[in-house]
Amino acid sequence: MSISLRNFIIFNSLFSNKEGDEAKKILFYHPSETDLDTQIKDIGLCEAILKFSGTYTKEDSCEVVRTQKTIQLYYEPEPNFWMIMTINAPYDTKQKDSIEYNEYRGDEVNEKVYRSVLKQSYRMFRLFCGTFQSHIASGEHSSDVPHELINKIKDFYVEYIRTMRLEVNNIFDIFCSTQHLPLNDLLFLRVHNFIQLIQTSFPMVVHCVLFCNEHVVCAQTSDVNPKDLHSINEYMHSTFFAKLHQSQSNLCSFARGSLADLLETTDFSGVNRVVPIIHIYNENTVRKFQLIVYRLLDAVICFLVDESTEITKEICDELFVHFKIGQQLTMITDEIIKFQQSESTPTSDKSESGPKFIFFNELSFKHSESLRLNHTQGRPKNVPVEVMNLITDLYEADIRNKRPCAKESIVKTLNDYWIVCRKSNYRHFFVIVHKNSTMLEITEEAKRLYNTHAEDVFFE
Amino acid sequence: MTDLKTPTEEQIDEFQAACPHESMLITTDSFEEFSREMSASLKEFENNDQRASNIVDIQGKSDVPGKNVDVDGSGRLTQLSNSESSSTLSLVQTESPNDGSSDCDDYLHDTEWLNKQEHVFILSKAGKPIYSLYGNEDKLATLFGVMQALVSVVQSNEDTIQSIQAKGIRFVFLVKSQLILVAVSRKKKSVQQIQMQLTDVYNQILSTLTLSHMNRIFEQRKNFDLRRLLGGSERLIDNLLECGKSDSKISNNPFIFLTHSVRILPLTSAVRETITSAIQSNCSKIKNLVFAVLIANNKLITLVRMKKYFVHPADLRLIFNLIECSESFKNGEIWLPICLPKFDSNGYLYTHVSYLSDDCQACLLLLTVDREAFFQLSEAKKKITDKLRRSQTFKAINDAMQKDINLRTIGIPEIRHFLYKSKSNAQLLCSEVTMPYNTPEGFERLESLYYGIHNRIHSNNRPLKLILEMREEEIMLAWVTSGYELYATFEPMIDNNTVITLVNKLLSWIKKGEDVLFILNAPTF
Repeated sequence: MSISLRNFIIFNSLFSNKEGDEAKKILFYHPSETDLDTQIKDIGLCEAILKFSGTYTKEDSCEVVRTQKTIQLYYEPEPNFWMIMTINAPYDTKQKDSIEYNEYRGDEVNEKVYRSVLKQSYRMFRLFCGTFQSHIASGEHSSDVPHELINKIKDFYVEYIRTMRLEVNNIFDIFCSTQHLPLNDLLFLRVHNFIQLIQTSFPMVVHCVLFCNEHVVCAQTSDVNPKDLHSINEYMHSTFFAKLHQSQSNLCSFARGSLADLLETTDFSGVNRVVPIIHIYNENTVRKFQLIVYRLLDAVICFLVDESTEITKEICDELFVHFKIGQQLTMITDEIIKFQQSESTPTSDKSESGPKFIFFNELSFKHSESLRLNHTQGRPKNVPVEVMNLITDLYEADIRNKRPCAKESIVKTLNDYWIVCRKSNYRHFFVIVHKNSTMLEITEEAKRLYNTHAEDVFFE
Repeated sequence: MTDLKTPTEEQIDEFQAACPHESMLITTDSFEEFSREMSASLKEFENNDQRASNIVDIQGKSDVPGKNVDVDGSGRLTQLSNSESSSTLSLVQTESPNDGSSDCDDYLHDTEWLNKQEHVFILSKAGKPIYSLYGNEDKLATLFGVMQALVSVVQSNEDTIQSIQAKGIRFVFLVKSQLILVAVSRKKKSVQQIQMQLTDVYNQILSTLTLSHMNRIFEQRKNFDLRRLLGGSERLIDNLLECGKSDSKISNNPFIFLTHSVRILPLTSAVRETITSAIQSNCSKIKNLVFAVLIANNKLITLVRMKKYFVHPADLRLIFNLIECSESFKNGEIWLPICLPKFDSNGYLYTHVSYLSDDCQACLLLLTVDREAFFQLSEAKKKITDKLRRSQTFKAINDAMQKDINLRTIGIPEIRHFLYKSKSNAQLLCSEVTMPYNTPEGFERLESLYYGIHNRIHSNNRPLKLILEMREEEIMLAWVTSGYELYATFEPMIDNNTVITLVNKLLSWIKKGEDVLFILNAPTF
C-alpha cells in the first residue's frame, strides 16, 4: 500500500469549555463518515500530546507525532486553531510462518515535506477565504458554534483534499518557490515593460502574473509574499490548467465562484460572473483583490484587481479594443517560445539518464530544475523516492544552520546515485547523477552543471 | 570500491580480505537488527517460551549439579537478591522510601529540571514509576500517568507511539511487553539512535531481572513496584546513559555506543596470544564455562568462548558498563549473576569478576551456567594471574593502557579525529580526542557531527555508502564498505584529492597494524 491520507482535522479547544461538550471543538474532520466518538477521541489524543510536549517547551510547538503505522503533522496557523493531518505509512504485506503481517515504511514519509503540504493547505485557504478568525463574528460568544467558519472550511477543504496528491509531494513543496521561465536580458526587459504598461494604463490592476506554456514568466508582484505567489501558481495548476487539459465544462473550483466562464469567453463581457477574491497578507494587513484570468493560446495573464473596482464594459473595451492586449500578448509569447526552443536544443540535460539539477534561491523564492519536464508531472520519473528524500535531508541539514555559510556535500547511495549539494549565500544547488563512477569524476560533473546553471545566478 | 578510486585501491581490498573468518562477536548491522527487533516486539509479546534457551542447552549437554538450576525459578531469584547479589550489587544503598508526596509540580515548574539536555523515564505498563534519570521518580507520578495514557490510547488503535517532535526537543517511546521507556532529548540525535539507547537501558534491566522473571511478576501483580527488585542497578542505568550523554567527559565512549562495537586494547599478537592461552590452559577443563573476558580501560584484551556460542556486542556492552561503574570490584573477588539478554534473556550466567592484580588493572570475568563454580573459577583465576605475571605480560598491558592513537605521531595531522569500525568483528578503533575537540563545547560538537553523519549513512529508508561534507569548520567523511565503516573529520580547506590521499594513508596504517589493533581470531576453550 502506498502513502494515503488517514484524516485531516481542524479544531479549536476554546470552543468547548465543559465536559460532554467536546464535539464543539471540531471545526472540520475528514473523512466525514467517521463517527463522532472517534472524532472526539482523536482530537483528545492530539490535545494530550500537545499538553505533554508543552511541558518541556514554552511554545506549543509540537510538529510531528510518529506511530508505527502513521505520521501525524501538527500546525497551529492562528492562535488555538490546530490543523492536524494524519498520513498512513506505506506498507508491504509479508508472510512469515504462514502468518500475514504488514511491514510499515514510515521512514519513507518525509515529515518536512508533509508538514509543508499542511501549511500550504492553510495558505491556500487564507488566500481564497481569509483567516479562520475573520469568519467568526466579533460579538460571537465562545460557546456559540461558529457556523459560518465551519461551512467555509468545509466548502474549501472538501474540494481541496480531493486535489491533494500525497504520493507526489516532495522537496518542491518545502521550497514554496516558483520556477520562472528563463529569459535573456532583452526579452526580460520587454516582458517587464509590457506588464509595466498594463499597470500604468489600468491603475486598478495592482499586480500581474504572466504565464507562458503554464510556466510563470514574469510576476510583477512587488509586495505579494512569495509564498502567496506560489499559492497562486499552485492554484492555477491544480484547477485552471488542470481543467484546460480536461477541457470539460462541468468544472469544479474550490475558490469562491468559478473560473469556468473565463475559459469559455475570451472577452470580459460576462456581467454576472463572480470573480474569485484573493486575500494577500502582508505583516498584519490584508488586501483583497479580484483574480481575473485572461487566456490566449499559450499565454495566460492573471490580473490582481483592487477589490473595490467594478469591472465594467468600458474597462473591457479599453483593454481589448484600444490597448489591444490580445495582439501584444501574442507577439510577446511568440518571442518567448522562440527563445525557449533555441535554448533547449543544445542542452542535453533533459535526457532520461543524464545528470539532473535543482537550484533554489531561499531569498527570492525562485527555483529552477531539470528533474521534471513540467509542473504537473509532480514526481520525477527517473529519480526514486529515496533520492528525492535524500535531497530533502541534505537541504534540511543545510538550513538548520541559519547562518549564510558555504558548504558542499557529496553523498552516494547503495544503488549508485550521487548527489552533490552546494550551498552558498542562501542558494542551494543540487546535482543528481546516476552512474557508477569515482568521486572526482562526479565532482567535475557537478562543477560543469553548476557553472552552466547557477554561476551567474549567484550574482543576480 | 569505486567510491574513492586511487592507485592504492588494491591495498584497501587486500585489507578487507584479511578480515577474520570467524568472530567472537555476533556481528550484525546494529540498526538493521534493531529495526527488525522493533517490528518483532511490536507484533506481539516477546514470546519467551518459543525461544531456545542457550543456558538450558549448555546445562543439558553436560551433567552437572547446576542442571537443576531452574533457569527462571522464582524461589531462586529471591535467594539471589538476598544473598549473592546483595553482597555484590549493594554498592549503592537502596533508596530510602520517600515521604510519599506524589506532587510533580515541583519538577514541572523547575526550569533547570525541564531544560536538561536529556531525560529518561521508565515506567511499568500500569504507569508505575520505575526510574527517572534526573529527580525522584515518585514525584513525577502525574507525568508518568500522562505517558502511560498516551501509550495506551495509541495502543487501543492497534498502533504504537514512537516519537513526538516539537521545536528543539524530541520525545521517543520504546514500548516493551511490560515496560514503557521514554526519552526526552534536546540533542540532535535521531529517533533511531535514541531508541537504541533506550533498548540498551531495557537490556540493562533484563540483565538484573531476566525477562521471564519480570513477565511473571507483572502477570501476578500488574501494579508491582519493580524498583524493589532493581535496587542498586539504577547506577548502572545512570552510567549507561552517562556514556551517551558525556556532558563533562571527553572520551571516545559515546562512539562505542554509536557504532555498537567494542574497542580493543592494542597488544602485539604474541602478547595477546600469551594471555589467551593462559586463560585457555587454565579454563579448558572447567565444564560449563561459557565466556572468559579480559577488559582494561574499557577496552577488550581478549575473549575466549565456548564453541558454538557468541557474545552479542550489546551484551558485552552491559559487561563493560558493569565494570566501569563498579569501583569496588577492585577490592576482591565478586560472584554475581548476570543475565545477558541477547545470549539468553531468561536465565543468569554466574560470573566471577576480579582484577588481575594491584599492579595490573585489567578485569577478568569468567561466566558460567554453573552456580556452584565459584571456587573452581577463583582457583583458575589465580593460576591465570600467576602465569601472566611470570610471562611479564602485566607490563605490556599497563603500557598499552597508557597509550592512545595520535594522528600526529602517525604522520597525518590533517585528519583531526577518526572512528574505524571493522564490520566483520564489530571492533572499533578511534584516535585520541585532540584539538579542537578536547574542550567540552568542541567535543559536544564532534559528538553531534558524528551522530548526525552516522544517522544519515545508516538511515533505515535511505542508507548511503559515502558522505563527504566540506564545511567551514571542518571536513567530515563517512564511508561504509563491506568490510569497514570509517568516520573522520579533517582540517577544512582540503580538496577532495587530498582527502582521498589522507584516507588511504590512514587505511594503510591501520592495515599495517591490524594484528595489534584488532583481535583477528576467535579463540575457544
